[in-house]
Amino acid sequence: MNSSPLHTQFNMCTVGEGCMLLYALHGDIGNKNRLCRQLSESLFRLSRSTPWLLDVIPSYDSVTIHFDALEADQHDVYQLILQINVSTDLSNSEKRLCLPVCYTLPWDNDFNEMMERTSLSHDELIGLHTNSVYQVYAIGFAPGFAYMGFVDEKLKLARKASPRKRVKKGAVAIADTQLAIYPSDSPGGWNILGYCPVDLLALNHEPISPFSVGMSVTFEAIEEEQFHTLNGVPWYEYCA
Amino acid sequence: MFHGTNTVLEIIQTGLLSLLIDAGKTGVQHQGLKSGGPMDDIAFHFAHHLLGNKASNSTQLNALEVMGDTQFVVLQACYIVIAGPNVMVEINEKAQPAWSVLRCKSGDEIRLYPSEVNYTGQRYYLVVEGGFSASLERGETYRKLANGDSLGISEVNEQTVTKRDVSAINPCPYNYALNTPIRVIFGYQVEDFELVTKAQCLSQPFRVTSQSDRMGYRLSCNALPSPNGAMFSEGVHKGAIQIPPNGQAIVMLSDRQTLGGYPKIGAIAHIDLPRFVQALPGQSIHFCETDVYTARNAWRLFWRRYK
Repeated sequence: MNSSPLHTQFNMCTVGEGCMLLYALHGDIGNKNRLCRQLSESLFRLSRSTPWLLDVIPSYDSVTIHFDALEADQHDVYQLILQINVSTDLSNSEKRLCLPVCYTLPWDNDFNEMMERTSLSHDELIGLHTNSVYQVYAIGFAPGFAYMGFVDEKLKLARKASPRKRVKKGAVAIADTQLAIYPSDSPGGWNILGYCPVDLLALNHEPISPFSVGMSVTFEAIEEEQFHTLNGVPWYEYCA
Repeated sequence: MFHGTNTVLEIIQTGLLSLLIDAGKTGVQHQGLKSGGPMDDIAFHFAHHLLGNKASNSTQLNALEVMGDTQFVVLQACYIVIAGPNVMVEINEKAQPAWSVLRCKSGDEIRLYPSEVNYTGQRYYLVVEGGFSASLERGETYRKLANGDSLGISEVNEQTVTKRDVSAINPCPYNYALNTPIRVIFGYQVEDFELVTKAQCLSQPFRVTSQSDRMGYRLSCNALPSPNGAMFSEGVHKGAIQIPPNGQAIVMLSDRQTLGGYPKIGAIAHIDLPRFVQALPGQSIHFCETDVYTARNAWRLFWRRYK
């Protein structure tokens, strides 16, 4: 990990009276994303004692900071970032989440189509999906919707030509090189590989989902029987 | 803090749309939860200011954000403020001032509707002293109300309310007219656009289309060439001007998604957002350039008189 001061590793852009965007400067996208996680985790901690800091949104290679324009300006944000001690962080970002996926459920999916499009066998497809460690790059689109990357080159698949009106909650799906699990029922055009039985969204829980930007996620294949045993278990119980 | 459940208002006629909204959530967007909040920050916060409502740890400021001709019946004595551009207010068919504290008694019939002579703006705010007791659920940025719905009032106490002046009739504190350009802070991916695109932004009219709601306003214009090449999704703030591949600008508003992947050329200054969001479909606006310091000064100077 680069140990130079954090503020030198970002390009700071003012985009509004109460908004700044910080772009990570160094390394590949994985490294930039980890830098963004490091900065945002530090800012989340500082926000408890900084009432004008309203929202911190880490994404792939950027951190968006919303602040109260009546109470602070971009110089205050800069001063806040200067306070961050680099060496104290990142330890908890190594936390890894392992989620079960059932690839054989008779629910709406694109598994067979994906075998055709990739020329992979049933086991090869599952093997390529479960053998990788994914990183959460961003959370957005819908509450708790985590964009994970990147899937094996052989699994790279364009979005479906016509999106589904309703993708069932728990669908594990691929679009281009990205992977996501639909946290709730919604329309969507991603290719469905299987289903995760764990309920990944709990709006009355803090936080609402197990995902945070920069964290690592792996998958393990389960049988239909296990899926039904686990189906609907809240993430905070499953991950406990 | 008390959460009284005494009903204060019943909705007789929702008009085009009546929504319960709050001041907007903070500290939630990293989880993919939208911030929400009022479309017109000035009408919303000025009404709360007049009533002396203060947000506390356990309460959020809230309001009814309504469109069209709406009617309510008062179920218990209360103080209210109705705010919005040229909004007409009647209590028991007698004209009353907007932007001023009104005392209502049980049985009063309140009506608010757009002015026929001076039709500007579309969203009006009804705020009650102490606030409504209902609060929005996690993940909800508004609750749509139906005819016959009733709302409770929070118990008023010193923690939540400081002062009120029933006698003052205030002029509208803000000029909603669209005859001066809307100020824009150029930023975000402005460097990725062709140089001429910024000039095109400043020299042509933009028409507000009917595809405009709390998420964003789609504008119609001579297509602005969007930069080629993919970009990573990033946080978007209220007022950001997105240019998707079809070249038609979209201004992101209160209920926007937390992340956006289209290039943005800049953002509308806070001070001009209220008049922008009050523009009606079919109306045209122009943009002019400002910088972040000037824009922040204008925003601070506006509120300095009241806070």
